[in-house]
Amino acid sequence: MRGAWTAALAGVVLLAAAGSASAQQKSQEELKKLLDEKLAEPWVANGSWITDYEKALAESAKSGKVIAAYFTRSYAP
Amino acid sequence: MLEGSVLSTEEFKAFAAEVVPFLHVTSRVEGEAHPDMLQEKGGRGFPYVVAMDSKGEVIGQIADRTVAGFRAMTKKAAEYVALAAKEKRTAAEELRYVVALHELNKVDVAEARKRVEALEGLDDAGKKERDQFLLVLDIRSAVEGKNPQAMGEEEKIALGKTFHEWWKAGREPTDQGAMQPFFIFMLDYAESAKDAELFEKALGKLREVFGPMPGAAGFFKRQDDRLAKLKEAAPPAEGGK
Repeated sequence: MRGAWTAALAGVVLLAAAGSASAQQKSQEELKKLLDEKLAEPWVANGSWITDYEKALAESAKSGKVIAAYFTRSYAP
Repeated sequence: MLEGSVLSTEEFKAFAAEVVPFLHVTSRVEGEAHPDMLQEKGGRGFPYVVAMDSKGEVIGQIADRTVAGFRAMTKKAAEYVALAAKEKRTAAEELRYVVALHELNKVDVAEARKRVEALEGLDDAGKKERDQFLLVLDIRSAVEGKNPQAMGEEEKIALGKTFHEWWKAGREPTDQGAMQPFFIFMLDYAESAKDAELFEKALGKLREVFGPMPGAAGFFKRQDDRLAKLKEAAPPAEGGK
């Protein structure tokens, strides 16, 4: 409920599907390039992010630490 | 954008060392691993932040997209795990546990209500907390499945009238997710009733909490315009809370 109404208040609606049309218009080569660029951004490159899901689960099991998961996209702004 | 601000700070780096920081980038590149993970973990848009356990189960959601918000999320998630692991919970613990289950969409409104209404032995603070949670459930029931952008005016006004009755009876939500529909529909009701005083009070409640929120300025400008028109058109009303 919170997300939907926050969106209503801010006048901003973010849908998972948004941007998919523009992604479909891009070639696989372009999409790969965008992904590489995303992963090279300073906040990723200088961070300690684990991008392999199975590795993250294993690390959590081993250390007992909670996983803080951040989801973003590379195919659109 | 979180990536250029919160996630780039030294403070976040320190936080990341206390957790397992997992990054999922949806790329639309053929063969990418777990392409539908966002939806599988309950996400509807980007960016999306959750806490997960070592099995990938979502155990916490972020309320405030700051480093403090990240910390609060993981702390709450750890508390949830500890409560879930307890064989026997006190009434206060059971209340916190059910609230967490509800926030994580692991129990529906009916089940959550049944479980907290059955609790015995809560102290005064616990009873207040339970009343607040029951109000959240009532508001959630009232707006469940409704899209504010697709609702008719009469439906909005009727809901706003109901919420106003609750407010007059002393029920006022503090949960931000519940506050929004509660007071936003009350604005519609107040406008239809030409009650500028009620409109102003409800708007004030929203502004206290959401006024500083990025992107909310347009919303408040529109409501201020509605209030100005209401004041012009109507003499001082007798209403209010």
